[in-house]
Amino acid sequence: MRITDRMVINHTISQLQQERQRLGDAQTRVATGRRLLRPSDNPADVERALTLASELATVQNQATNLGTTRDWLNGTEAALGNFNDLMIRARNLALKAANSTNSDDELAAMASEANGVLQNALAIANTNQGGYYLFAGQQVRTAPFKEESNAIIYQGDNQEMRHLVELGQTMPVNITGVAGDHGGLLNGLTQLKALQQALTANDQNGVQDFLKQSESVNKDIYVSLSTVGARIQRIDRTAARLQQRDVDLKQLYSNLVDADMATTISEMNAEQQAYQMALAASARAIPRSLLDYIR
Amino acid sequence: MSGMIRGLQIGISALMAQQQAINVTSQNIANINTPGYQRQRVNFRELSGPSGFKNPPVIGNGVHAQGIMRFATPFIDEQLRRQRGIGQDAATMENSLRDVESVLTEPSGTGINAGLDAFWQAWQDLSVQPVEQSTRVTLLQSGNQLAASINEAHNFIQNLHDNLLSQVDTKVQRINDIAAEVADLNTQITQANARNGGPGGAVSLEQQRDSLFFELSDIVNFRLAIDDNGMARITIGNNALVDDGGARPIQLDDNGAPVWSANGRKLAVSSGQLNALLDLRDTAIPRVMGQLDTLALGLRDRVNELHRQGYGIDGSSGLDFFVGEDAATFAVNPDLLASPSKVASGARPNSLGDISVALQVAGLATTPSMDGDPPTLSINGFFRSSVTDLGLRIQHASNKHEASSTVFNHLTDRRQAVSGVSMDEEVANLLSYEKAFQAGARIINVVDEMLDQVINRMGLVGR
Repeated sequence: MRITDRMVINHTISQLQQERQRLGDAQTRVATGRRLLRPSDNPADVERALTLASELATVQNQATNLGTTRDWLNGTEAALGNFNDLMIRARNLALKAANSTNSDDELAAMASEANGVLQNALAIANTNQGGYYLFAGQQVRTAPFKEESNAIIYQGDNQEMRHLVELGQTMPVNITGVAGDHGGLLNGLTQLKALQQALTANDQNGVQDFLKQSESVNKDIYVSLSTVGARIQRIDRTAARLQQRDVDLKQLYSNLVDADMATTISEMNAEQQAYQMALAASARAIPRSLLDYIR
Repeated sequence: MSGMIRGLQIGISALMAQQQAINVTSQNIANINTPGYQRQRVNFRELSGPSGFKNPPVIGNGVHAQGIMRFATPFIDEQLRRQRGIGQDAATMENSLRDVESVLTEPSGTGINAGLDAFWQAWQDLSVQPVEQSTRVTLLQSGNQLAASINEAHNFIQNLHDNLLSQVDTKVQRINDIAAEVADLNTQITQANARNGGPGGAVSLEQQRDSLFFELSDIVNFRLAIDDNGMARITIGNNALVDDGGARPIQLDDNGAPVWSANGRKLAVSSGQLNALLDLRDTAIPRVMGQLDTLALGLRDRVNELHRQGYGIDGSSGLDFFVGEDAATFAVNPDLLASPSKVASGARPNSLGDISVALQVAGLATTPSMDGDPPTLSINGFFRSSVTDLGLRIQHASNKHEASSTVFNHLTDRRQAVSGVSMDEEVANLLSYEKAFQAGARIINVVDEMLDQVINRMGLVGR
């Protein structure tokens, strides 16, 4: 084929341009550390990357929120434990009042102590953690228990508070003030009130009633405690699983989006060399013509 | 004697012809870098003498530079024009769509995808802490961010679209200008050829006209027919753009479609920059804008549906979370921004711990709620598929462009091979013409001496 000067120059220019383009792309990949910069680089990979990114964000957020849920459960567990201890103290008090003869002063002291237990128990049942009443059902801004002259009033409800555990799955996290076959904490507080009144009035029947019925409170609390325990376990297992998922997703995402630095840098070096060689070749190829050789 | 005078004439004809050839060679060398230039050559023809004489036999009358021939390549040119049209079509499409892509850059930590994720997570956070103002304020802010990034994407793309309107205008105008210039050159060329008694009378004008054809082929598809008189007729579709009567103008009608001014019929555009611009203006870019609108409306409808049935912690209900009619006006309800307690987190009034609405809204991240009945894509999924769609279109245009460039380069080489100027060749020719010129001068010298001998030195016996 006949070769003209223009042809040689055109080829040179176009090859240099191509090399420059490839070098520019390689440099960008090294500078940003990324293999995928735009959707058009690889649409299918970018779609996958977006899905992974969304899932990763959800997993990380979920892990943080699980911490909050754990706090809630911890607080509930501690409160229930303390309430249980108070019931035991009250029981001992009642036993003492029932089994031995007591002077008036001693009775008065016991009544006072019973009141102290009642007030403590009331405070525990009204535990407020981070602005939320733990035992109020869904009425989280209202103190669930109120003492009146002759009764304890429950102002909460019996609704579940559900938290997201992992994608699409929720779990109830609260114990309401009336949870349990025998009336839960409300029952406990009512009986403590009754005991206090009984000791104040030296009503042996009342004390006996207390001794008979207080066990039911403990039963309810034990059931609630094991429920809470199971929930805590589930939270912990999920947190561990989420942590693993976090690591896996980060790995997958990085494989997809990030450039492997060793490979990318060597590619860039190769392109740089290729570019320089193209430049050198052009310098030789841009032709000398016959004019250089005739007189 | 007449033989010797003829010798002079032969010599002179040699001088003139070689001089002409040297001029043409210089023209070639001077234009070695002129884009589209096709080399020219002088046609030498032997001039014959009167015929029929036998004794003495009659020789010719020398040489005549018959005409200047251009190494034209009509078939290659036609293929080149076609490729230019295809390549420019793809390139224009690719460039414009890459502009759109620049505002939808994914994957990134700051794009719409990240905005959607942050929004869903804010609802999850609300489900765990429904009562604090800080969670609510954060939620509303993330909604704002999301709305803002959708607004911004829309506005950017709208701008691109508006630019296209003026670009189409410019191209139509250019087509008219080129047609007018071609018509003008047609007149000049046909007249020059008539004067010349045949083709070859206006070689540079023809070159000029050729480069106009190339420029036109970048813009729009057309068929070209050049007759023996040098008249070039251009047709687009079934209608003439340039014919014997001159240039036929085109314009844009009320809908922005290019039509023939004479009869209002639509221009049959199928290639070139104009084709891509029209496609972008009428289909490709509105498609992306439509997808953004669908995303905004999907968000608005799905979230509002759930939000209206819920209760804020101040008892409010029935409120919209998002307002707006399309991607441009999409925004968070300002009533909520003013009063975060109104954000509905629960499904029951007076029940601050109920967070079922918050959970349902958070679930929209993955619940299929868009695209078909029954819905097949979640809101995030819809956005992802729109981004992929755009990416694929760009890849397609880019591949088409690259393929066309390869063919274009090959055709350019072929054209160059036939009609490009080779410096070595021209210089060699220059040497040979120069030598021929010198030889011609030498002939004249010789004849001159002979004449001198005869005229001045004959018959001087004994002088």
